[in-house]
Amino acid sequence: MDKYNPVTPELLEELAKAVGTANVKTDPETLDRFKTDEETDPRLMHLPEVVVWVNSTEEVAAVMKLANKYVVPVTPRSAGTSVSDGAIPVLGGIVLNMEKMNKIIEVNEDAMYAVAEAGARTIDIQMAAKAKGMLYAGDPCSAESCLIGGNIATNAGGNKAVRYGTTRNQVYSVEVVTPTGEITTLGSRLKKCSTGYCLEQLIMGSEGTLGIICKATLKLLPLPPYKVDVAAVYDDLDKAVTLVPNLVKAGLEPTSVEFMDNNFLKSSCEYSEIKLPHYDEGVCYLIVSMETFNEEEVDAKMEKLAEICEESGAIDVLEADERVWTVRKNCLESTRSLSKIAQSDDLVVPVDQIANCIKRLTEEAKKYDFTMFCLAHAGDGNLHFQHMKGDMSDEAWEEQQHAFHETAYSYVYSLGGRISGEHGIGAKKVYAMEKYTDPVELAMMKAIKKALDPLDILNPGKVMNVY
Amino acid sequence: MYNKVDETFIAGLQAIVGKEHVFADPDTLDQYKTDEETDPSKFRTPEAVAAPGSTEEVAAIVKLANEANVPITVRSAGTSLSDGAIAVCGGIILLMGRMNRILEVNTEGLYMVAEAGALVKECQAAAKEHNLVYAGDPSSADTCQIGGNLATNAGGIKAIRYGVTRDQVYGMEVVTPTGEIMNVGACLKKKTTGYALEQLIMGSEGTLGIITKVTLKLQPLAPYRFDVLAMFDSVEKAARLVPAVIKAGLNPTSIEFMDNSFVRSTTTFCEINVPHRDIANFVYVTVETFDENQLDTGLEKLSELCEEAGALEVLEADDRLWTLRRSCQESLRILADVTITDDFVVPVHKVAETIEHVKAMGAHYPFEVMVLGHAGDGNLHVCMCRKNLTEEEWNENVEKFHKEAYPYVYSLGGRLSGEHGIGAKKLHYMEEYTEPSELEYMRIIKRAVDPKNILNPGKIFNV
Repeated sequence: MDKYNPVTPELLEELAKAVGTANVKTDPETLDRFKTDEETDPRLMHLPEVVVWVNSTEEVAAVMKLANKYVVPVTPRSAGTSVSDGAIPVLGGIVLNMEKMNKIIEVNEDAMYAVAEAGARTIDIQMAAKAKGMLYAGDPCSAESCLIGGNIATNAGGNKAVRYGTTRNQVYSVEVVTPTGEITTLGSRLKKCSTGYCLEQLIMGSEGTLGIICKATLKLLPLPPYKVDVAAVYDDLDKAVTLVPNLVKAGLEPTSVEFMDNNFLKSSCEYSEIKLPHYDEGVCYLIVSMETFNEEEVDAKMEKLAEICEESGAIDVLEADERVWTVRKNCLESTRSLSKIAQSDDLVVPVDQIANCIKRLTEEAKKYDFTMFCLAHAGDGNLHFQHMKGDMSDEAWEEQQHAFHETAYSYVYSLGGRISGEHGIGAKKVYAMEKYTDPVELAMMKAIKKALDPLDILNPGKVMNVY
Repeated sequence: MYNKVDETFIAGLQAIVGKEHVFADPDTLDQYKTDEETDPSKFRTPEAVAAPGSTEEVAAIVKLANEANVPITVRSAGTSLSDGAIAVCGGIILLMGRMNRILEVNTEGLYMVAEAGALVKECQAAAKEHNLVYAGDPSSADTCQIGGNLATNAGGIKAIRYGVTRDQVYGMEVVTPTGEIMNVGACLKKKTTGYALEQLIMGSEGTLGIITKVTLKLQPLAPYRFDVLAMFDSVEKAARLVPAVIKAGLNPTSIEFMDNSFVRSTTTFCEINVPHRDIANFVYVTVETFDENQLDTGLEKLSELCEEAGALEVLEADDRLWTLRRSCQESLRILADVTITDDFVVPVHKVAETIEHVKAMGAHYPFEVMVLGHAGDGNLHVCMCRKNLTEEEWNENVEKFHKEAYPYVYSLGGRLSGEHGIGAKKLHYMEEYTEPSELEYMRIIKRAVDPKNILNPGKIFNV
């Protein structure tokens, strides 16, 4: 792309002045480390020209001003746990590494909020809240390694979204560096607000294209002391998924409802060397978690839940103990031995369409040579299909993936769904985003991006093609 | 900067919506010169009024207005307290009231689809018919329309438990400022597929798009509830109950506060007798549960808290007593012709001290400073009545009060408006108190999306 300039010694010198020489690296090893995130396909990787570590919001702003001055693109990077190529500098330029801004600045029990820098690990925030008897409810599967800024930028979902919502529901406000290098604070620590545009909600989920999140004020909740985990076993998908609306309607307020298809169940049981009941009988598992504030409620809810599971036709209902969770957690690991290269889908559909969608796409996948397993955050309609390349040729893999997704995406949109529930579009799904999004909606997104980032400096090549 | 509405333009409007839905006669225009604004110096008569019957008609009108360079002010039920529905730059008023159908109530998917002009009351009733709840519930629910609720991100009396209007919405159909039709948001529990434009448009007070159709979330209706009214002989005691209830983990649906001046004005206005009328400050608490046992333990706990807080008396808050709370705004009419209602919002744990501070501050002004509030979510309505002050005295003192109150609210981390919006009325305060870089960000977006500044100009900020 010739609209950008290459990183010059002059720029490197100014960067070093802004953030310190030790925080500007151009050696081949460093550049190589930052050419990818969770992406496994070498053809989608791209080397940055320089990696810059920042220590403060002011430094982030200074880097953005320089990038605008020299017309060099900037790709912000949190922990690099993106599965959508969100942290790959697809157009070269600067990778801006946020990991040093990792302080948890305040945990306030009275007003129930926490303030953290963008590079703080999500799990550290969860622990800091827990230490004071509170809950930070954002909980993506990668919580142990991912950083809060990345969670906010992608509106990460995770295990507790059924009850608590996604990351955008956990945030009061964000300190942001704009694409042109200004510092601003968006949002406020208020339960309601009608004072101008809700820019914090616009920034969240924009995947680092509209601003760099440097600091966040997060909502904390009272930590429910009691927890119930139940696994319901079904031999019929239709029956399994009717559990979800019935739970909601009964007012049981589940924290999470996780679905494992038989493929995942089997491969993970074998990998984990744990033989869960019925695992080799073609069944699927739904794991339901509920949290309560008082002990009596636990029993009442447990009883009600068992009743609903039975009514919906579960063949077995068990306590979801450590063994069940180990199998659930090892699902993805267990497929690594099956295929080095895999691709994960992140479809989201209305909750009442989950069964239709899983059945239809599982059937569709049989037409192809790759293998496809399904895990789902069933309570919120978010389906992860894991596609495994196995020993297919690159060409066949690519062709068949494309063909499958053409069918799958059209189908998902026809149900009122979208291509990403929690992973984001990144660079990987730009093509599909452009193809399936309402053109007027897409045009408005582009108009906003162009207006705020006239030189297209911040995370170009992500979410959509602006030019 | 804008062109006047002329005959050609009127003919254009008529061709789009039909002759019978375009008005330019003085009587009709006069009807739409104000909303809930009572101060005649703030009124502005529009040049024409059009009532579209479909999204396509709305889009056609917006295209026409862009070509002719005529501003559009969108009007729902006209219940704005911020001059949000006043055509402050002239041009036309677009009436959404004809587009008032509830199109679908889906009990499996738990959502409802309605046109923007549907009454909120009717959306609530349609949900309730199916044992579900639409949780948006502004105090004006009986008259206001759902489109206006989204545009201002209306709050109301259930926001502590359920959140504000922006939390009740899956998606919407919008006509952009240049007259294109788009659908934003989706009927999904989570989504990371591009920018959350639905969140940007909600609360933008009709400046970034005209909401024409909405998809609302529905929830199961909690079958058990109790409503309590606790009366206190001082503002302090009443205010202190609020944090106590929040911390007790009762998950209340509402915590409403009314100071004694409102108790007096509403009991007179509604002709309802209550004990301790002349000294009582009211706190209403509503709790809803799915389980009967929880109801008893909750009620017991709450009675304890009221007693500890020093309540004069605790009553069951029936419809009659809730009527008082719902009539606060209207009751101001018997006090004065010109009134002003502020809409401060502060962090919840600051609400008690804010109530006390504002009441104490109010004592130094030549009007009574009346306070009521959605205390559980930190949102306070502070009302002032002009009574026999001259226009000059009134303006001067209101301005002085705001210069004292707003910096205080901002110093607590609060904002100008919790649920009423900025409209035209608080525009200059918005510009004064908002961080310049944030304001500039808003302006950049407005200019990018509405290059001719056709849609609701003169609202929120000056472009």
